[in-house]
Amino acid sequence: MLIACVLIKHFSFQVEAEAMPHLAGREVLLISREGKTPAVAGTSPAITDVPAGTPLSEALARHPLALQREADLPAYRRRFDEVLDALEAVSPLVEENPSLRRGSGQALGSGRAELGCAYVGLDGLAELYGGMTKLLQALQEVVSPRLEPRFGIGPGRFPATVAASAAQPGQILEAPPTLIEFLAPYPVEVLPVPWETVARLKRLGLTALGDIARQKLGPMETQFGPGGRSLWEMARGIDNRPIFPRQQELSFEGRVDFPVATVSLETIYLAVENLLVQLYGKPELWGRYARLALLRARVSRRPTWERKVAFKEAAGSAQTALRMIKHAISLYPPSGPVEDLSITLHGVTGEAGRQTSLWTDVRRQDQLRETLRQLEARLGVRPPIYQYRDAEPWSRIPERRRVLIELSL
Amino acid sequence: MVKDPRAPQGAHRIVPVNVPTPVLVECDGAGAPLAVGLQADSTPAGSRQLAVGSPPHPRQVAAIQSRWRIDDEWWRDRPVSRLYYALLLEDGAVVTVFQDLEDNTWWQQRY
Repeated sequence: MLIACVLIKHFSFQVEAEAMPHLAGREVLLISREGKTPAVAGTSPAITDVPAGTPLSEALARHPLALQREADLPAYRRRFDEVLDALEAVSPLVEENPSLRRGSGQALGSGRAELGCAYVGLDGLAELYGGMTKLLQALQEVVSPRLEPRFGIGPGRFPATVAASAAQPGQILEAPPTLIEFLAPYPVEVLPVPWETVARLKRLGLTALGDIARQKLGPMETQFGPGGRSLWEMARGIDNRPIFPRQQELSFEGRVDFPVATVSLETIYLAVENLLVQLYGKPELWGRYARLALLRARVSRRPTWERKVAFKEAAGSAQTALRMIKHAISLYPPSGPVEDLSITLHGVTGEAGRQTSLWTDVRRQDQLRETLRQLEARLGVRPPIYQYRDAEPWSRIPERRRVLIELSL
Repeated sequence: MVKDPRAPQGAHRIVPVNVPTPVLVECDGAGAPLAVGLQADSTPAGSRQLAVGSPPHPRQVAAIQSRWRIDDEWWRDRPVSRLYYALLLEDGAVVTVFQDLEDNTWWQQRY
């Protein structure tokens, strides 16, 4: 089973550095305030002794001059999803590694999977791409070099991971056939096991993978139980864990950009309504219901605002979803001026569950939709038709009072 | 066939209405408008550049009917600080202009 490991060390920092290249080379701490006390969610490569999850006070004691930035966890997640999507364009077998090594400076806080490591199944693809070289080249090309990805190739996840961690940014390193010799010099810290196990290995004098590989299987199993076999096998380069590809979930996303960052809830509600009408107007969603809406907003100079709204009853129309989303936003509004807003509908189901009324404005909507189609056919482009809506009618700034919203049915 | 559900949808636009358009204003020593050069064709909505083209015909201000100031959004990178004038022009027309106190530019806008 040939596997590629795509490793982006300090992923959260790399995402920040993509937008702000001047951060490169500096000591940066990315701070998460999701827990009870502020903690480090990621660091720049210049900081190697502050694992993710370290309390901020402790991190500052070690690096008092480090630049502190608020971690934008949803943005990191979104960027990593983009990486995974890009990898899926090369191979259908792509799995995100949920348990990257601790202390790599990229964990995203408790309860969240660590980002920056993915596995790609390569079996049978070389012929499709005209050879292994071209396949690996395709893999390299889909991940932005600005993220400094490292690629490791091996006959299993573990050897591929070790190869990737030894590779230089942008480089592909293939584990040699003599896996035991290749892995032998690496410290036991590279094993994907809890730190207690690592400490125990060290107490037994097993500090490098070569030390484990030289043992017989029996004593390892005696000491470590069933996990002993796994340790022994990994130290010898044997890792038969298959790749579980990501589940493809049907979801629908819409986004709106605000011309001027807004703090007005009325304007945000308008945007939400507009997006929901667009999403529920999609033919793929006709007659279907959504169970969850994920709202994301880019907030000026603040981390991304994110809110999950689970519908108690699956929402089959824009109006139903709007009511629940408005309520959720009013309870937890964005923390600053909103620059854009996106809504993703998840948990789409085909079950109606209830009979809709005959006497709605469906016919009117159909007529409008038909008119728009005719116009589009005649003009050759999508007709620029807008709705005129009140946004902040009370505003002292005239251009904030009313807006035109693209009409979509 | 269902399209790729993870394909991002294009962003939809929200367009503000009644955005100010640039205007040339001649002032007296105290900064009050004396004449207004109204463009026949204003620059695109939202533009913060002065219109370039044929020079507008200046129209004298007969009277300043009203004057008011708004200061808002002071927490942003570019706060709003404007001094509005409702002007009666010599030809009887009434226009509303404002001086952007942040960069001393003049704009016309219905209030």
